[in-house]
Amino acid sequence: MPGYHFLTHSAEETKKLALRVAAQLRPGDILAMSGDLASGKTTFTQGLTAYYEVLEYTLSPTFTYINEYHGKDQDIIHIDAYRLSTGSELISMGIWDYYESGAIIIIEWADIVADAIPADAIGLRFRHLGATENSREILIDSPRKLDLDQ
Amino acid sequence: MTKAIILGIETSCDETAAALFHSHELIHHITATQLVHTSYGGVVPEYASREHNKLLGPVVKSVLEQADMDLSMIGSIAVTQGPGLAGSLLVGLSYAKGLAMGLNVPIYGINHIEGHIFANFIGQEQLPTPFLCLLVSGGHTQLIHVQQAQVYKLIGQTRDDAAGEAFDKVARLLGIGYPGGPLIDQLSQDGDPKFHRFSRSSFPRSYDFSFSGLKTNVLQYIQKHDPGFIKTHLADIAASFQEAVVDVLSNQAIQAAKDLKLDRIVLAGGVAANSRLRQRMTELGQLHELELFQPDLRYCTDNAAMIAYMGYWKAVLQQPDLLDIAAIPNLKLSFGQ
Repeated sequence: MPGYHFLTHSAEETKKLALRVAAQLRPGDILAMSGDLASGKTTFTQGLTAYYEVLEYTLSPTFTYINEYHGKDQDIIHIDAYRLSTGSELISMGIWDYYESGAIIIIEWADIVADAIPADAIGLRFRHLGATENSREILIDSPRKLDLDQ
Repeated sequence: MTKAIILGIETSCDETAAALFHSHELIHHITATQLVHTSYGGVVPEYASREHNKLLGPVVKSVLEQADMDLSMIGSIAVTQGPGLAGSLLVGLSYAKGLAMGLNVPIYGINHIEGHIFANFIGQEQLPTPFLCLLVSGGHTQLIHVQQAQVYKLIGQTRDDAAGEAFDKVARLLGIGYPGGPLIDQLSQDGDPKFHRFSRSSFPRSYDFSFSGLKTNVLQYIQKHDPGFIKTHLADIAASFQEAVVDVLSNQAIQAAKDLKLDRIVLAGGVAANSRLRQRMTELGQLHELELFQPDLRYCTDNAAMIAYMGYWKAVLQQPDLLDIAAIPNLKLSFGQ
């Protein structure tokens, strides 16, 4: 499975990387994000929704579980599993309908609900580096080749 | 007289609640809290709707019994239509529709957010509009210009995390558990709010909020210091974090009220229970000669009293809803202009 490795040094750089990833996505793609609090997942999502010209703010779905955005010719479903504990809970919320809807699905805290995420999802792992810098390591595992010049 | 009785039903999240109102006045209300949370305080959606199913009938029965009333006295039903968890909302709505059909009484679908705003005025026949509402909870952080009932204008909102969410996540970073809001509030009583100055975000020419950077700021602070130091100063760090949130919320609210020439500010939502926010808003309100409304603590969390009271207002303002009203999980306040 092709893997990609990036370092970003600001929220702006994380958003720019998200724009490059977004340009490679197809309808129905599932992005499974993992990484601790404040590691850049929501910032990355804001970059993705910006690419699809979503006009609203991309708010954290921690308390609402699922936020829907309607971008230019593309729906985006933003899910947060932070307050869940197993994949079956995600399934009970109707996740399969979303998978089959053609929307691009972004799942934060995907490791918590790993058993409800299809094997062909694109995996993104985020890590906050160091106490003083604002640097993030972002690892992307994609089942298909993405054109991301490194 | 009997036909003025309103039954309110609330099942949007993890509280199963029922209330009885006579016109605008509370008769009695009951809230049953579910105990099926995950370790981080999440509501397990599937279990939540099953619990509502189990609890709602008994809760309605109890509220009637305790008020010495029976079903035949109900003149209308108000039920939360959204926002909330789809399955949970459906339980309340289906129950309400069945009852409305059986009793042949009107039904009103209620916006839960509107309920929180109006919770400040339970028992009142008049609304002190216009006012500015600071709505703060786990899922919302908004400044709303309430021109009159059902006429709203969104003035500002968070661009990332809600204030209540920041409390929960920082509580987790500090390892003090769930629910973060009340625990940080309590811990901060023994802490120095000036111990460390955490970042305050604002945007030029905007009343918007951001709490995501503050969360990162707290994380970096924890990483920079050794665990012993953090443990010793837990109360100070909690108080300093809380101070940053309260600063931003209160300053934006006061500024917006002054700019819009509104002389009343209304707090609403779960974070409106925060003691430091209430204290600060009281002080600033006096300083700037603004009239401050703060919801009774029992109405900050989810309850059916605010739903029944909202039902009273809807009955005053509009026709009843039809029996085919649907649950709307992402229902928003309708903003004009």
